[in-house]
Amino acid sequence: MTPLLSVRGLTVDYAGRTVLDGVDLEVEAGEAVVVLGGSGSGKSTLLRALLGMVPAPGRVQAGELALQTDAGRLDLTASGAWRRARGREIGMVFQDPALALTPLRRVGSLLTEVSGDPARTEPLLRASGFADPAPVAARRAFELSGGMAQRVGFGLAVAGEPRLVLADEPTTALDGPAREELVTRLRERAAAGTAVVLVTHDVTVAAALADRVVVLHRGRIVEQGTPARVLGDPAHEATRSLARDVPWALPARHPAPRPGDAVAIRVRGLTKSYAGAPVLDGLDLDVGGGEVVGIAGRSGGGKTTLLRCLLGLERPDAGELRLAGIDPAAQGWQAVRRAVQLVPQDPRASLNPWRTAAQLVADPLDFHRIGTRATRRARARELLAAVGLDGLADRRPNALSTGQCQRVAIARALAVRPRVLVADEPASALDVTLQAELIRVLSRVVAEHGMAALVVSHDLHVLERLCDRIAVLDGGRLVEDLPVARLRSDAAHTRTRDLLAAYPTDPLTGVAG
Amino acid sequence: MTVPGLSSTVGRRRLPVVGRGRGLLTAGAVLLSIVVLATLSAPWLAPFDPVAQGVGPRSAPPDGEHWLGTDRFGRDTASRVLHGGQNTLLQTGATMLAVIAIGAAVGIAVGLAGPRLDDLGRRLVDGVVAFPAVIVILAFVGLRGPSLSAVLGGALLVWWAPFARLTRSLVRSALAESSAVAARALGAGRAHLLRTEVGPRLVGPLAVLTAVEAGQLIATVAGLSFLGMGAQPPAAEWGAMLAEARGAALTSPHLVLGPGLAVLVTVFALTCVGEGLRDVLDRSAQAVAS
Repeated sequence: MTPLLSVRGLTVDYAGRTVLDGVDLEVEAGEAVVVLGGSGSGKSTLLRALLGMVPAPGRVQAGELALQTDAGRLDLTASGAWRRARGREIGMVFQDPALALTPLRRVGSLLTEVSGDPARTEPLLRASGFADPAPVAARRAFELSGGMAQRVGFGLAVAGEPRLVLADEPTTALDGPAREELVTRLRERAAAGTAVVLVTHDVTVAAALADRVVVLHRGRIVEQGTPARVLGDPAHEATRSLARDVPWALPARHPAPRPGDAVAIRVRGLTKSYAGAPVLDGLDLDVGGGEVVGIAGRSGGGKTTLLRCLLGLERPDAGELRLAGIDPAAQGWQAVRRAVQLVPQDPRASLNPWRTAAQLVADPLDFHRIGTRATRRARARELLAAVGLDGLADRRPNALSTGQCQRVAIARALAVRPRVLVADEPASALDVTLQAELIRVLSRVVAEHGMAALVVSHDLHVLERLCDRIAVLDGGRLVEDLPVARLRSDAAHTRTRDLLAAYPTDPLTGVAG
Repeated sequence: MTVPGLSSTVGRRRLPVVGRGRGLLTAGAVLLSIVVLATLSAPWLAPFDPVAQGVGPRSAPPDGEHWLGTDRFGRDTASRVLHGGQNTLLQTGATMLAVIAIGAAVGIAVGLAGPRLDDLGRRLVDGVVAFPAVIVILAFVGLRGPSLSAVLGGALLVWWAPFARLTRSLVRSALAESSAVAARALGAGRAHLLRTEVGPRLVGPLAVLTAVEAGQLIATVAGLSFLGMGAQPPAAEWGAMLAEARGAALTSPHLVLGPGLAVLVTVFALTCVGEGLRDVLDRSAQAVAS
């Protein structure tokens, strides 16, 4: 049987820099192939090349790039072939579903454009996971939540009944349960005879979805086989790092009890609503001195709003805040920020692209008028050295890797010697290897400085390694609050159970045997 | 083996765009510097006194001595075009600097203000933008009597508004960037945010708008002078010269050539610079983002 998709000798270079180097790939109908690779492995470029959308100045060369269709073999390198193939023969699930949908168009009209038949809109939406599709079809794309947008994005990818569905890191913007749902949908598709090619850095997705795992490293396929073989017994260094250097394989935090320390964060009756819809509903929260507390919850559960209220970026409707013993309402936010600092969500986006690493790290000292220009500069260099970035002080974020940006962001938060750190989804923009690195660096600095910390994330694996205690936020209140050691055994609330199911102790146990 | 379809579509579609920004910018900048240098060095370049009558025969077509001919008073057109550029370019340039400063200041103030003041400021600015500039300038000229400074004074009243509007929206979007939010959470004050987050994001778009608006202002000033509202005889100014040339269009058509080409080349150069800057800055913004 001829394979559905045949790729031979696919090479892509950007202005002489080779990103993909002689990749061969064959995919059968009904097969789910997961291309696994870290940042810079060329996995996104592979997907773009399969879709004929390599951006300038990329140059694509291939010995063969062909798709089996009803009308015979379609040579994708022939002129005009992509236009016939995209949507009808090849569907695409994008990384950020909200960005992939034209915001002002209605969901129904978007789907009809691809499927060609308005009557198919409702069955498509139902098959994408909407129990009640009619109101969804009438909504405009910007009115969808992140989870809904991902379902619609999936619906769009399969609306043209494609033989091949491509997916570009579709799970990074999703929380655990939403990720599981998408994987289930893709599995259903594969069972129905569609070929699926998904690229990701997340071994969890590979383990749950793949018939075959292909590991990409520096533009070459270094290993492939069944998930059990590749992930259970990795032969190549790159695979080992992706499968073993993961958050859940790290030791848990050893809490250092610091009795007598002042309360780090105290929140009473925090309430906030947007346009009449309550997001935070009388929330109470305590973080002790030297304690690290995780706030878990699904997207849309109020995590971001809580964080923005705690950082003074959002004014709560009601409630009392006390951070590091300071009442922002009485003493002002500037006094709070002198003692409470932020570790941001996306390290690269959080750093001003025009400033050097040393300037960025010295900035908080400047904001709070600590020291002189010379001592600030010296402290910045010292902090950069402490996170392993000596010699890079004069680089700007563009000239740093994502992992290095993340270290700059952490060094920056430490500059004023805060008593409390607040971390906003600190791992969500990172691949698993960098997540593991983040956890190591963050646990070390928190322990070294005896700081208290509040970590907000949907990723239970990350929270379990960083925190002493995890609280689950749902519907604007904390519905669960347990020490990490007892979370998996004692959790009572269904929301917590859902999250725990989506982040099993070791996601690879089933596969690796 | 190279796949011809793939590599060449990539090349064909993208490369001309990449080349265009730089080419336009360079061409525009070269033209503009020639015009500016020529007008600035008018006292040395110009062969004759621009207002002296009878330096040559009357209404003579271009020849070796008078490159652009002479007008009906026997004044040298080339000298008048060069000196006229000083009025047009320098005064317009000063007016542009003033409207940029006013516009940026208003835009920053409104952009930093709370929601209610922002709303008010935005409506005010939109109102000024919506008002036809020429009518305001004509009203001002009506009050002050026709002169180049009255035209430019009138322009000063309205021309700042597009700059204010652009600055306000740039300030808002810059403050919403992750890096600005992170800096605020770490304790950054307004001065720092303006200097490091807002400032660099203002420069490019404002430069583009300046080039486009300067071209329009020059055309407007020349147009109003042409109608007799701006510079008065015997002062040399491109628009006023065009008006004089119109009177003699049947007998000495060559008179249109000098001032007409001067306005055309200047506006064209400024437009090239504006468009070119936008293309180049767009691409460097993308490079910064990736």
